[in-house]
Amino acid sequence: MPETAVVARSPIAPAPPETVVAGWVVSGRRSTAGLVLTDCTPLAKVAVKATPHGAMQERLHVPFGRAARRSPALQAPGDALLVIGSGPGEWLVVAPPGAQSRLLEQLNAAAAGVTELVTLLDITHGRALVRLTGDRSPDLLAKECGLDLADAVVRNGSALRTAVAKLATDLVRDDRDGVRSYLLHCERSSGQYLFDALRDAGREFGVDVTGFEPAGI
Amino acid sequence: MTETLSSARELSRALEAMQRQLLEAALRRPRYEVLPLDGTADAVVDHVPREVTVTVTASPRRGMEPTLALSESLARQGYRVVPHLAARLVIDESHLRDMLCRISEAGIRDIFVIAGDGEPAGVFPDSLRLLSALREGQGDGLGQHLEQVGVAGYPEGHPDVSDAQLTRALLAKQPSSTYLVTQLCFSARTVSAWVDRMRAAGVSLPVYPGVAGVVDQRKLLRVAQRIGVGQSVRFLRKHHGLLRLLSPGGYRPDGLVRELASRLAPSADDMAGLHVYTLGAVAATERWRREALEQTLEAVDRHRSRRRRVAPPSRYSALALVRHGVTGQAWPRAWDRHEPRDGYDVVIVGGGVHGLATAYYLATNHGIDNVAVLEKSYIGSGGSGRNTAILRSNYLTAEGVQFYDRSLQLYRRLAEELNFNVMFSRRGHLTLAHSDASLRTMRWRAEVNKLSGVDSEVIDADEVQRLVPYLDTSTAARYPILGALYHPPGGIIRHDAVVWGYARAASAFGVHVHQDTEVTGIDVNDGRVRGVQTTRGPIAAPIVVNATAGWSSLISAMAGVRMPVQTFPLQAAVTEPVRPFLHTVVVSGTLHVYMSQTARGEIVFGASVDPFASYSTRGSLDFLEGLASHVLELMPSLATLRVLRQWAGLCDMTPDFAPIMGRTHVEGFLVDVGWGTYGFKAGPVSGEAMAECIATGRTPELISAFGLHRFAEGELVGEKGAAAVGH
Amino acid sequence: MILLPCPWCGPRAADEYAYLGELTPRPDPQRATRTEWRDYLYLRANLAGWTTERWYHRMGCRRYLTVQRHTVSNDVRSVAAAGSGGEP
Repeated sequence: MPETAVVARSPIAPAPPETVVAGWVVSGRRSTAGLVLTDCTPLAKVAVKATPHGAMQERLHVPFGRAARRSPALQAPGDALLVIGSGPGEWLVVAPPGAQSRLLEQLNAAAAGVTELVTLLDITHGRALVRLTGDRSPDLLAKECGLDLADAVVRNGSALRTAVAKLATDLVRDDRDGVRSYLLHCERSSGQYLFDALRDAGREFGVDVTGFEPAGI
Repeated sequence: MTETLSSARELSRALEAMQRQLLEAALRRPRYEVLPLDGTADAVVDHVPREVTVTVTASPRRGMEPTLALSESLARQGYRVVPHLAARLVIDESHLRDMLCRISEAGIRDIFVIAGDGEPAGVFPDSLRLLSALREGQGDGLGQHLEQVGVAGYPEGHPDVSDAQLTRALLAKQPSSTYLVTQLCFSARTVSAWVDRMRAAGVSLPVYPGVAGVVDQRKLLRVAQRIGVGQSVRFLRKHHGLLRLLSPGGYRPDGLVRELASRLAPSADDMAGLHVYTLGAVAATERWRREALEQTLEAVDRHRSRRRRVAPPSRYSALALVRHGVTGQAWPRAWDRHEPRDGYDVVIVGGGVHGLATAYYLATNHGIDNVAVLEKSYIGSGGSGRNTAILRSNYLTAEGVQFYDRSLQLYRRLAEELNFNVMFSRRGHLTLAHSDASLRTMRWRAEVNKLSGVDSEVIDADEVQRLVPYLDTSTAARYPILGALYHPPGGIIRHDAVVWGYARAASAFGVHVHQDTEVTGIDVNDGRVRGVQTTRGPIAAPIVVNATAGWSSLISAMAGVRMPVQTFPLQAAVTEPVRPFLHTVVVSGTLHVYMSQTARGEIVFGASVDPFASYSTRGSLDFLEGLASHVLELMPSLATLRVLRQWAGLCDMTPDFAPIMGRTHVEGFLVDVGWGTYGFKAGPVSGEAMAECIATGRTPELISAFGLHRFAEGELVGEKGAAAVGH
Repeated sequence: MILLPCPWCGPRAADEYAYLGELTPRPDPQRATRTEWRDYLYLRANLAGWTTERWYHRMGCRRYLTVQRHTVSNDVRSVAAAGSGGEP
């Protein structure tokens, strides 16, 4: 399928100019601001549910509250992978656009022989995913989220679910090249609202929008 | 001597109260007798409300068919209908059976049996014979659906039958009938003397005195022509004194009805209701009834304010103000302090607007003044002093509208009645609509309101802008304002003054208001309440009323009564005072915020209850944050206004958001609780209804849906009276 | 607003949770009389003091919790996963 064929749209309206990446209509805008928001909804997203501290957790090897770049059970294209321990017995696996079928296959294989109930669900199109990057991102988030985001409390690789702008949101600290960065994951229907709320809150810190790039996560 | 006097006074007060109640009830739900003529159905449907029972006469010339057809048609329209069954028009038992079948299928449960005029068409020469047939046929289901059977009574005599015969006939009919309607009467004395004679003779049926409605001569003559001259003459002969109706200037039954109520008041059965002969003038009769009802309600209030002057503690007036200013004399206490008596007739727990209003109406409406109100802190320290003091009656159901309309009426006259400035400001009430759906609900509410005579209308955004220029009515708002339900009678009041006014007036009538008196226990034995234990010692009382909010579960638990109540804090906030700019109450259901400007210039805000049950009255930051964000959506210009303080009151929430009122399984223990977030505006009407419930031992219809037993019986009321909608 | 220490997520503001009310033992729906069932549905002790209640961490771990809270001071004495004991 050619890159330009449109298969999906994020719930978040792309900042102009529009372009198509891996079948997703995304923003082609490139910002060099120190604090940027990116709509990462095109990333493949698979939800895993199993028993907390059970066999599946052992195989994924990521505990609740942590996000890991690798897992013994999974291999994503280009090694771009993030396994998020988003709740007790709940994981969110994120990989480059279009990787969901492969992820499901690998997760199925990993679940083989596990006696507890394991649920695998492709939620790529059911959720919105936003990345906030920049040194001032904790200041921005402090306006919409009641948690203390200091390093001592939420260090790099931490995952938690909490209220952001009064929405139930998965919040993952996932620094990029030593720069503070957070992934925020919520229901698709709330995506635009979350994006707008973050942009409003970040206005005083000069937040800007930059388009999605498929390289990495 | 004094005791005799005071009990005589109490007796006369109680009697007056009963008369007024009787009159009001009679005028609220009378029976209208109509003729089965063309156009009657339309006249009834166009003019007569459904709470009026309609009885349909039988015409000897046209037979039973028109009576049955009109009865069926009116029953379909939702009326309670009573067809007249004329014995002489019934051919035989199978004819009777057919007619009763049709009556039953139409959902009619009440018939009125008369002999009828002319030669018998069949086997029933008189009503007694027909009643006997009914009674004998009961075994195989004849008339089995009937709940009421009425028969005629003749206080002014019958042209062809002697009084003694009439009495004997009534005694014979008594076992197969359930009530009596008198012929058209013009003298209350005659009716009352006749009732006494009947009671003495052993006739115990409830009596509906028959009176003529408003009569216009030309109309009456037209009717006479239509029903036939012969029949008119017979009618005239039987309804002795009818010619009075033809007096110049027309006839109005006002005086007669009032006198009937006053003579027949002591026993409810002597005037079970009013039977109005409309004589073809349905619309005029209905107009008269509405006016008479209104006058009765006003008379009740005039009566009260007249009596209030009997024992004023010290009358507040401009003159008194000047006198005290000049002399420097201290004002006397507004309400007296007492040592608690060993016992009272009624003990009310909770010195808020509900408890104090109940005490006040017990004393004024029912002459029961050996009453104590026990308050653990100072009066009005609970919900009555913590609410946002908004009054309105623009509810979604007819029950809710009528309930709060009565409350609003009482509030409106309260300052005059209590001689206490309660600072009622009728400034209009706006409920904003932010979506087509809510606009639709507003239209619905407006119609329901109008039908009950309550002023409400839907206005558009421009009109909203004109009323409240500071509202953001631009379409760019996150929740654009599309219009509003405008309710001009709504407004605000000084809540503390309401509490103080009731306390002062109740105290003037002899009620004891005990502050700093906490109830620590309730004595119950043999399923009866005996009194209360307090921090100031035990107090005996055969009746204890729980009129608390916040602590209602705990007070009821002391009497062994479990409640379906959970207590939630409701917060409010007030800003620094600014110049008057907000002249109406503004409510947004979508943003769940309500605001008004007080006489001092502060803006008072309220929102929804806290998200979890608690007895804590501490404010919280997230409430203020949420409130501020919502208020600023509506009025961005308030961003620079500073909040002065915030507070919380306790709301007792019930599963159906309706209050719990009336008796409980513990005899003598009554409740007036569960008022959620809307108790203040219901204070006066609740007090009035609870006082009636206590004084008469009967639950007034206005609150009958709110009994505690409804939960055990699974009959929750939803939004019915108390309005869960937009509370 | 109060902080509730979630056994999974740590201390969180109460508005992340759904308050589900005081815990009362549920009668067996097969055998309960109508009165018993309606009492269970509607009647509440509504104590002013220590209560045992159910909360749901809807914006966090999405687990049901048994909480002991003082309804006057709002102090929280214990929070445990539902079903781990301590329920009436």
